[in-house]
Amino acid sequence: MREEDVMLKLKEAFGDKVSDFKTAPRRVFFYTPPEYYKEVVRFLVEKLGFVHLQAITSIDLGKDLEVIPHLGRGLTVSVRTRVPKDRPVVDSIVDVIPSASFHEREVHDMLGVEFKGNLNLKRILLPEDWPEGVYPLRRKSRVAPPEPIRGGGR
Amino acid sequence: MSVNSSYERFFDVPIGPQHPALKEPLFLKLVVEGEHVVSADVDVSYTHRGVERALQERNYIQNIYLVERICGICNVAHTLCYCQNVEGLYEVEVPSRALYIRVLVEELARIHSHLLWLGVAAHEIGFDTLFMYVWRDREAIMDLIEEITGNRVTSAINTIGGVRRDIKPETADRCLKIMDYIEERTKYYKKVCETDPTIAARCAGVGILKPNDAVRLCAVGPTLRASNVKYDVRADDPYAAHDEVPFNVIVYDTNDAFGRILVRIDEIFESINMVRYCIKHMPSGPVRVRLRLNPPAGEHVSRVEAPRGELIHYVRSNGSEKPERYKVRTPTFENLPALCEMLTSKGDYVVNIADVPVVFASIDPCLSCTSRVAVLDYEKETVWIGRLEELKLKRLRR
Amino acid sequence: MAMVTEVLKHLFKKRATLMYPFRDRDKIHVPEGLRGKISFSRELCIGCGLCARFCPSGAAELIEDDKGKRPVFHIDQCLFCAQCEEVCPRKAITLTREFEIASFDRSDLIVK
Repeated sequence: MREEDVMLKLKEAFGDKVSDFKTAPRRVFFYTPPEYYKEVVRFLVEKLGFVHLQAITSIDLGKDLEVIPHLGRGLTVSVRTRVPKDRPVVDSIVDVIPSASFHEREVHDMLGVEFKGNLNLKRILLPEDWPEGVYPLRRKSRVAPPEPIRGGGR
Repeated sequence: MSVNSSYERFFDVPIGPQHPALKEPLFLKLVVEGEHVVSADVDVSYTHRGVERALQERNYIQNIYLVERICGICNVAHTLCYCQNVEGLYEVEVPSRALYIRVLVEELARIHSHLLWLGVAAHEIGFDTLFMYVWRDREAIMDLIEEITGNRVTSAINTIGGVRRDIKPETADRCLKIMDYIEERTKYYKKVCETDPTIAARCAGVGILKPNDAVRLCAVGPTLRASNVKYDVRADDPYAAHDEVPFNVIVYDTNDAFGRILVRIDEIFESINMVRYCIKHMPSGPVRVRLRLNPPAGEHVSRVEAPRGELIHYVRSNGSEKPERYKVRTPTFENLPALCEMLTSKGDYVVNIADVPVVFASIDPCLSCTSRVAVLDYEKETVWIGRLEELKLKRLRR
Repeated sequence: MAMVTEVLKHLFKKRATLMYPFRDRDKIHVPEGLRGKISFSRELCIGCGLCARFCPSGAAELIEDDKGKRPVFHIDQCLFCAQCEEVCPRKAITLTREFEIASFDRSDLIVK
């Protein structure tokens, strides 16, 4: 399947719920609002055959948080969706792809996105006694790289 | 996670974080009934170094060397993935001599990683003789990598726009001689693995992962290919010069740890042939294209077949000299759901505690190790803490 | 059992390990392109600061002296990546083949 075919099939099935398409050799990126996110992912997995979930990325864009699952084997399709930072709730895709549970746990640890429907949102990358509400990859906790230690003598 | 133990049949056995088989600390929580493992959960927080955050604070050139140090064994795969990602942002074509040199060094690193794994897997089984001999032969590859790139482990030959060094003709000749030596030794090790009764007893039928489970749980790498699923990023999504350099995707249908040993040994033979092809058909020309300092705004995804499986990097840039977001997903993380599935006893398939290190080593975890195991015996109300080697011996003596 | 013949053959062969550094120091083969300790020539430097800007670990530090800006290299922080050598416009920095640089005193590990 080529990138243009994927784009056409998505536009046919979802109309203007999918937008902002960008393609590169064997890569497709597009945006969908969070209400249709799970439907779009289910369509990609069940109807178009992109069964392999590669990763789920998350970005802090200032006022919003963006969640991007990457699907596919030969062709990589990245579905972008955006939620506001004060209410970061996204539907979980665990019932479509079981191994998404680990990736969603990582996103929850690092950026604090709540995945509705994933009952197993325990710590995976941070220690168990890490304080609640502190999300390392969020913008405001920006630190400069530490100063190198300049020694002189023993 | 612990099952409701109103029967007192199920005990929790924690393995780690100072870890049993191989490289890094990991916490495996096993729920055990007698000697059989009923379920497993993993906690991978112990080597979290904040690399993704650190990548956002440094510029694109400094990040090449930071990405290289995510993993010592797969350092070529990480730098290759990173440089491809940033070159995708620039939308620039890399000269073809540089692509062939990239494939050459990547395949040498794959041979070295698989030989390292073979030695460590033999050590897990207790076959230390094979471990020592394989690691002695691996030294030839390390010396070759040092000659080509300047360092044994952190090779740093990939840069944004191409490679940093060219290959001299004397080095290419030496490379071909060493490939002949490694091929002869690997044939011998394959014969040892196929005929030795210890390896067959410890590995055959252990760590079973059926093909539909492997696809459903998104396993990658040799773990997936030993379950008869033909998926290799070099064939399905070719990068560098992999669309021109011919090779076969190795698949076995045994679904167990023994199949994974055979997949990796056969991949060594394929890599040797790819190295020979690259040297014989190396195109001439420049090895590098000079690029301006800051990449344009945009995003890109890059995938590479690291020795352990599919590696994916994602970059989002906003036009400045530091990336806005850089995401790294390593193959071991992707194999964790499959690992939990392999460690669950179901029906006729039972997993013993002593099989746990073998199963864990068979997915080739890119983590490091020490070995401490705590076994809590609720009946006798004792706690026994010791090294995993002692646990292995305890089981064999019974 | 499969390796018994191989092991017996090795009883009569030379040992594969080199007893470095006590006996076999001259048998170590150091390849030509090894990235070792930095050597810096002050005369060629123009004080552009590119080495300090692109050093991944902060080993190159730019200081002012009577002749202008110049870098000071802290080898204890150095990654031996050779990025400074690659980016220097006047080729004032080279990475030599010296790798035995352990020391008890940090001031030995500064190259001016």
